[in-house]
Amino acid sequence: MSVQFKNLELNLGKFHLGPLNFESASSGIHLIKGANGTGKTSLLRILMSRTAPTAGEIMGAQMEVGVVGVEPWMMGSWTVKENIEWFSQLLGRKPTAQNLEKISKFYEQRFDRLSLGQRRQVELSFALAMNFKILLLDEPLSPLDHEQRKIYSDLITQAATQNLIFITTHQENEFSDKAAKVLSL
Amino acid sequence: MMLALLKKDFRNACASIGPAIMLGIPMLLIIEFTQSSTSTVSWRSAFWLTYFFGSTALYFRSFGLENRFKNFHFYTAFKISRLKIFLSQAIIQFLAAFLMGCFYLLMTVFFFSPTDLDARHFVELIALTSLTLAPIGTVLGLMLQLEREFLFSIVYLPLATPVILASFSLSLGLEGSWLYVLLSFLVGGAFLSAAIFEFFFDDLSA
Repeated sequence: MSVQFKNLELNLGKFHLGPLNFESASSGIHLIKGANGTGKTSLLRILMSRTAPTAGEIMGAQMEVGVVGVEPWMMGSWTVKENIEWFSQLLGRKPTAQNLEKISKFYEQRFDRLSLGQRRQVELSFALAMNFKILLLDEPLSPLDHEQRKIYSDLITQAATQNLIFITTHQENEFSDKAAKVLSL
Repeated sequence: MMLALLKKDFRNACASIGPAIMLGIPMLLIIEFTQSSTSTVSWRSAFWLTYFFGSTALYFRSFGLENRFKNFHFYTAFKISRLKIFLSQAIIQFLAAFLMGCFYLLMTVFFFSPTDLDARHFVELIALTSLTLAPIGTVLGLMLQLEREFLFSIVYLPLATPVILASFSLSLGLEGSWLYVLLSFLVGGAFLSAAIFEFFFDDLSA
């Protein structure tokens, strides 16, 4: 399974993205590189079907996708455990326990009471544990400290052996030398 | 998936039903205390007026959880069926409005001591009215999350007012055409609400 853009364009008044032509590999890390405001997050929004492209086609992304970093998606007033249980039930499958061990210490805490870095750990761990075939990560490691960056970059790299992962970045990072393909905006 | 949606909506409704019920108690109290010996208000009028305001307060909080945390987009990312989201919310809103109506009936009995109450018929009528208003109310809740309050007066009131009038008339024992009015709004309102729900929902998750 791969994702393909054909002459993909997004026109939002003063902002214009594309035309983009790109075909992903069936799995692996795919970097979307570009400076601030070049349309990295907008492209992720198109991939998750939140925004319709103005022109062109996108093929292969018409399935559930895991998203981290575009905007928070867990229920703030629920505990981490309640969120994990509810989203697992919504998606109809159980998360792999191995990926959730790292965040078990946050289970009883309300999601909105966690720090930004802790929230990111929870969302990343859960997204990896749900084994999405397509995972969209918007600057996924930016709120994490040095130690956590290492842990999660390894986990993401490991997940990319089976899944298709798009990662946005505006600078060289842990994934630069591991990317199967790079799309520069 | 449906069970998860029902569970989430039930949880949201549990948080909403208390404030909605509390709104009705002072309304009934004010109506009862402002009557005079020469100008009395029918207990049925008091009940249906209170039910209308209470149910509106209830529907107002539909999707309050997602609106509060601005996370409507996960439904799109996870490709959750819009029809299932609509059905789940409408089912829970029906149950909540029905329970609220039954509570208001008890309060009406307490404040007005009606002598001509056919309790079974009235409870059936509350159920039918709640069933009619729940789908329309679900869309109302969504519209209000979009900060499009002006749609409340041009969409919700023309749909809800005939329902309340029909329910009031049926509670008086005037069967006839009022039952057809209520049933028409039940079927028409449900189809119309289901049809426009996706449009408003996608607007929120975009």
